Amino acid sequence: MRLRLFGTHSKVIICYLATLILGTSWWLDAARAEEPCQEFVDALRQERLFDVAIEYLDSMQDSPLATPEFRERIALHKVSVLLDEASLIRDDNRLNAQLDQTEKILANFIQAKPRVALLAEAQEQRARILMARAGRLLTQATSDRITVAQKNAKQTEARNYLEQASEAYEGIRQRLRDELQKKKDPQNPNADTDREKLRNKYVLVRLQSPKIKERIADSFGQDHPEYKKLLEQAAAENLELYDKYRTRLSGIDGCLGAARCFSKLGEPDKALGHLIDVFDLPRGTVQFAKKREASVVAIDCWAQMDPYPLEEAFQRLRQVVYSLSPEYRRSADGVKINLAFAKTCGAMVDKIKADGGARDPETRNRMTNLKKEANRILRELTRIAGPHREEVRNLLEAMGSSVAEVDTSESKGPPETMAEARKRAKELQLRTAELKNDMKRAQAAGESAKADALAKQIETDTESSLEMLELALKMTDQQTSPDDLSNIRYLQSASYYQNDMFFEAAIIGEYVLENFPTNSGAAPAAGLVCNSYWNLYRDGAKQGGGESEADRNFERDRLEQLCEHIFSTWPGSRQSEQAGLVMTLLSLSEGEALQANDYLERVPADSPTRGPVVLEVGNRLWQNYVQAKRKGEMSESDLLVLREKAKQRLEDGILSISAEDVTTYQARTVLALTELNLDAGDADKAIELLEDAAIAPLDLIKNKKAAAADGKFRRDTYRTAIRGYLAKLKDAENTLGWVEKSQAVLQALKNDIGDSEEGRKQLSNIYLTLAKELKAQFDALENNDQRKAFAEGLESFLAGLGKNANDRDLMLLTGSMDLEIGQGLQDAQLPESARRFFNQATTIYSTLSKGNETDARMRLEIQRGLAKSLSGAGDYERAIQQFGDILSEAKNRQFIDLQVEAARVYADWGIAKNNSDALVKAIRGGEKRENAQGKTVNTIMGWVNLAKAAQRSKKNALLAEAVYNIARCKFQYGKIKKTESMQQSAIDEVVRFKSKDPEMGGSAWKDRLEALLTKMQQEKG
Amino acid sequence: MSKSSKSSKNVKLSFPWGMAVAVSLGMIIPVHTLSAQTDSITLVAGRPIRGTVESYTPDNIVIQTSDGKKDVSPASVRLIRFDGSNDLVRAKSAYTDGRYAACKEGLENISDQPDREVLKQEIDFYLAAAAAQLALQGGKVSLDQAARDMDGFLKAHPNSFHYYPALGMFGDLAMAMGRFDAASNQYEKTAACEWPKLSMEGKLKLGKAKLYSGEYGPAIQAFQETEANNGAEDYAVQSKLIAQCLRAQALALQGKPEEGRALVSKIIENENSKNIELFAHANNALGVCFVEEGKTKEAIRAFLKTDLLFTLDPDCHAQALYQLVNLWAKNERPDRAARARQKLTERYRNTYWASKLK
Repeated sequence: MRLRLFGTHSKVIICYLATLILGTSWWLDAARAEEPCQEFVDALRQERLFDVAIEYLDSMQDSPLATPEFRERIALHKVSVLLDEASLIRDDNRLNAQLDQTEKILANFIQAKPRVALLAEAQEQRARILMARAGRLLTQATSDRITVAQKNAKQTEARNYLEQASEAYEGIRQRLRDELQKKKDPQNPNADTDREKLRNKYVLVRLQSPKIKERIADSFGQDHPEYKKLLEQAAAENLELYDKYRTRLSGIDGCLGAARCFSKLGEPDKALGHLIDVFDLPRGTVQFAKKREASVVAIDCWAQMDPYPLEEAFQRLRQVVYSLSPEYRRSADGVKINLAFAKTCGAMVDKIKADGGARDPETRNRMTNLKKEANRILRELTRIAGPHREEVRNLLEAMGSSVAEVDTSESKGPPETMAEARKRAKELQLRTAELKNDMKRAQAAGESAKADALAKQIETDTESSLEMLELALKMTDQQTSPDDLSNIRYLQSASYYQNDMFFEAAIIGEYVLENFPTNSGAAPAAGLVCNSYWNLYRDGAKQGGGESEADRNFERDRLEQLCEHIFSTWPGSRQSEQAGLVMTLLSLSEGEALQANDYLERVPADSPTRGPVVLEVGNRLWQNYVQAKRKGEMSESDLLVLREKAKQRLEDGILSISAEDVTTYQARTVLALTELNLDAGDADKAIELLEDAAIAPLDLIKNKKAAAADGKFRRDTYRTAIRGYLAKLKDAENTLGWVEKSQAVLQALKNDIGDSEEGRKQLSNIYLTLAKELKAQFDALENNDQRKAFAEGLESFLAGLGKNANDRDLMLLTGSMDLEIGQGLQDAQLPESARRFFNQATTIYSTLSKGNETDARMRLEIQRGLAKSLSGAGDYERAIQQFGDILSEAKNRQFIDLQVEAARVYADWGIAKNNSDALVKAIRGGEKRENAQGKTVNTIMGWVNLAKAAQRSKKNALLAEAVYNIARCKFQYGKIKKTESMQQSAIDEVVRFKSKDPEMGGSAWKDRLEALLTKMQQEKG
Repeated sequence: MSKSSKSSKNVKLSFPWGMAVAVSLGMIIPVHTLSAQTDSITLVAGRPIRGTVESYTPDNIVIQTSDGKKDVSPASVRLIRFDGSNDLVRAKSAYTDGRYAACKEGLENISDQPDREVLKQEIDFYLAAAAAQLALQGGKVSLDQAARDMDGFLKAHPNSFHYYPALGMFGDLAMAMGRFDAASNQYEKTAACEWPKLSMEGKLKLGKAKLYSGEYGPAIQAFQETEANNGAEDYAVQSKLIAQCLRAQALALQGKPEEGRALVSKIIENENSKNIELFAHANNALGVCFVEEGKTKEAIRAFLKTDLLFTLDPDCHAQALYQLVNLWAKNERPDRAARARQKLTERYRNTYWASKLK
């Protein structure tokens, strides 16, 4: 770097000197200043400072420092900046938003009717946008996580964009051709230069056509008839360009394009024939880039040839492999070239051996060098992430080498400088990281001897690394910068961390933070300390008491402080991301899902570590939601917020699941999202998830995937599917179709459970749960039209089930559903429809109650269902008798919900029939009986006693319901008896309750109590 | 700092430090073997002079020619070649090309003790100068060592015609070490010398030393004195414009950022942006004004222009990077702050700005 700087400097000096000698003074030009706007924007783009570039362009809109030519192109510059940025965006939603914004800017620019030349540029930018959209779709289509149908859809959409882009380029091409014709002006001295510029542009635009054809061909795939046709066309167009413009770079691009097409067409000889022209280009930076491209194409060609042209491949690759920049070596093409060269070196060694081996020193030397070279490159490749690594490892093993064979520092003699010692320590750490991966693989493969050997090597390396760092510290002096010192200390911490010595790693890391808070080692050290404490905390939890509470609290507090420090000091950094992850896991381990969700915000969406954690957070949030909703102690709006958060996380998390290797937990997550969508009333989305998603639970069951091996998962899936299909009934469209689908799934559920006694019990429970869930779905419908449609559809479903009238479980299901939906209709003020359902339920439960049910729990359910059906149908007296019978059994009296249901019947009876006796019993209790001590007591408790029980057990929602019923019964009683004081007492009940508990047991009861209070106050006047 | 030394090197090229011959206070140093040598002095303007350098002071070189003795001002010299000094010529050439390590190595490898005093002082100067440049640009020589070497040269050769340029470099080293008082002392001496360009540069750097040490009043005064110079030579015009930029910075830091911004904006509007050194100073000044006005984004933009477009002046570039480290951090972009920090510490680690970061 320094040398380069000096070089530049000396050139400047020479120029400066030349300027002085020539006596020119360019800085004294009288011309008014113009800001180098274009250069600045280009530099900002180069540095990826896109936001600054956009702000700068905005600021130059009216700036006198910008030339009018620059100002009129500002929108086009913005589009270029945004497109550059778009090429780096990995999140699809963000990318689409970015491209939409870019298109909007372009549309506004075009609408403002710019000059013709600018309009043409705008058209070209539009084509770039279309290409970007197509490119992203084609990338998405390669994902393993999508179904074939989704892949096809994406490819079709991409082709559509590509065709639009092709049309756009064709328009531009024609315009350029016309302009070229016009420029043939013998009078104009600049005509040649102008034509040359235009022609360059023209060729570049022409190149787009074969490129697009090639991409469309790729999108079809090799088996499609269009593939060959399009590639042949693309090859012909590329060759035409090459023939016409051989001396131009774009002509060379045509040659490369043609070769690529021939290679894809399975004609490697033809392709290589053209590539030779590129390989033989003279030396030069631009030419080298083309040779690099040619190598990438040639590698594919050679691979198709039999025999493999070893010597040619070796010579060609050697031309480029040593001049690749570090950045390029890490790119996909760079990896491809290096890997091919390493393989070629290996093959050369094999060839020498096959030819008789190393018989003379020269051949021996050559073999050694080739081996060394292959080893060096392969080891470098192991340090680059990507799918190639497995192959590289295999190659290393096949060559009798391994990553562990990197030269050890011991063989090099003691380091002479601090920098060298530090470098060696770093090398050892890198190797340790590789060895740890090897060890994990060996452990997973059950190769314990290998794993043990690697563990020993890791320990030795860690010790060596620490020794090197000690040496480095000894070599420091007054001149050593704090940056260097902090870096050495950080590396010490990292060495301990690598060897799972978390406490030591944390202590040294903290030393860096305290002593070098603003130096380069501080941020990575903070990340290490954070991870170390997390490991200590987590291990303490695993040991289950192996560590003291005080220790765990210390680690926990330290973690929290440290992470907050990282968030505020290095926001957006890798360390901040890691700290966010740790705090998310910590919050999850403490059951704080919402807090975990907040911390998860610190982890960028594209972080590879995020996926599993997002799933966990999403599931926990969803569980919290279900529990909170069940308890009824959270406001509606808070519930909605919680559900939305859960939804967002579940949706995010699902994106990280690979369809190839789904676990039951992951499949359950998809099911949770399905249930969430049902809860939110989005049946279409729920059904899509069940049937068509990349990981569709019904698909998993159908295809007998391992993830669906868990019986509970299958049963929950079937139950959710029935709910989903029945939820579609509300639309009153294709009712029969949905009913049939529901019945089919129901049958699948029954088949899955089987006919055993245990199975029947399970089925009964599932049916009861299903009925309740359908009731909740029914309640959540938006209007009575939907409720009616849903109820009618359900009637068809239930009628279908009624055909199996001798099936007790199905009868139980139909009875429960009739009852639940009847109640829903009653709550929705649809009494006629409700009565029909209650009557059907009464019939079913009556039949069931006459059967000889042996299961006591099921018998109770039947009695209870009958009592509630009778009440719903208006036969309160028999309903109370039924509850009386149920509650006369001592073991049933413990169920508070039975008492609540019985008290409700009294209250409904009193109000519906103006029965003052029932109203009194609703409040005080009824159905006398003698207790064990011979005293007469009420079998049904009544609302006052229920209120006391609720107060004792702090069940606010139940207390609110009791107050509501006491008040409405009292008020009605006052009306019947014309007792104003009783009516006032009813009002006072509510007012008193409100003053004690302003929340009034939660939003649902609050609304009802407020409405009742208003109604009573109005009626009383 | 190393930047300013580099810029000063640009300025010095029209009268290279190595070419100066000193005549001061009437003390003439005789050069002992007069007869056999053929030295040559190439002037900035005019025909080369051949003969034997007889004696020198910081302000004068006496050369015996076939037409008799001639006095030559070191300020007017572009190049001096001494008889029988091929290794020295090569080393000087390396120095002129900015290959300081090669220059140093070349000089260190001269095994024979030169028989002429003038050659001895020449070798000592270039050794010290190359070390200074290496130190200022973050090379293998520490600032302390370079300063000791330069001090050694000044004490050993107080009558060298390189005396004033050496003083200037000594000042640059002191600046890089953050020892502004020491730097001011050296610059005051160069400001008072009779080499017009070196004097003007000394004055400008004196202002800079005051500016960096927080003495804004004296800094503004020094800049105004530079601006008041009547010179119309290119370097004078350039120095005056740079002085305005630095004055704008001083005004901003003195609590008058609007005044500073108005001053520097005029330069940006009226001067040619191809004048890289000037525009680096101008954008830095503008950036400092914006910082003082609390306009972070505008400040970032100004310093980015220096960072991305006007990077020839190391001190300016280092200053811009230093400011960007802080501004990006303030703007909650630690990744960019880290990048700027890395650039600063890698390229300009021996500058005042890099040391300020620690």
